[in-house]
Amino acid sequence: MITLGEIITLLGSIFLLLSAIGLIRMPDFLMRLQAASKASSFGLMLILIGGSMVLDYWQYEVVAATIFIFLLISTPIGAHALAKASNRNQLPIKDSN
Amino acid sequence: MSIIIQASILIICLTFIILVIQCLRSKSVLDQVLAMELMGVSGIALFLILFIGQETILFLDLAQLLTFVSFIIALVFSTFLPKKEKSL
Repeated sequence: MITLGEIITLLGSIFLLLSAIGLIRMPDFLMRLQAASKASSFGLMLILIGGSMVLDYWQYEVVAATIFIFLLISTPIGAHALAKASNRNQLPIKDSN
Repeated sequence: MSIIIQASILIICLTFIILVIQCLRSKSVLDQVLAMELMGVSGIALFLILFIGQETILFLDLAQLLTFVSFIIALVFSTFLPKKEKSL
């Protein structure tokens, strides 16, 4: 169970690395925003789940639930504000055609 | 601390390096803000992994504090960022 939790933690950190690579590789701002918001929140949630499998503290479960809820609220708010600002400033969007 | 947790810490540090390079390289302010926001999430992940590895309660408190700060930053973004049109 501990090894499985550690592997899930490693998977979460790999997802965070993938979101950073997506931030470099994606061609326009909205694609970068999508890569940064979705993959990073999913990676952090994998790390929280892996940590709760490794550890037995009830304090960790409470803090992990708090971080989960706040992250679930704050990530879409920040992404939405950034997308709205990019839309108002008319940042260039890459046309796939 | 097991080798898998050490590999996780190494990957998060690599993420930090990539994000710093992206933040210095990009010309748009919104790109830099996005990279800094992702740096905050990576910081929370780093403190959580350090707590999993060492079981020191300090890292858990730091992760919780960074989560609250990133929540306030998201509220500030949603309030002020769409209005600052000319400075972007």
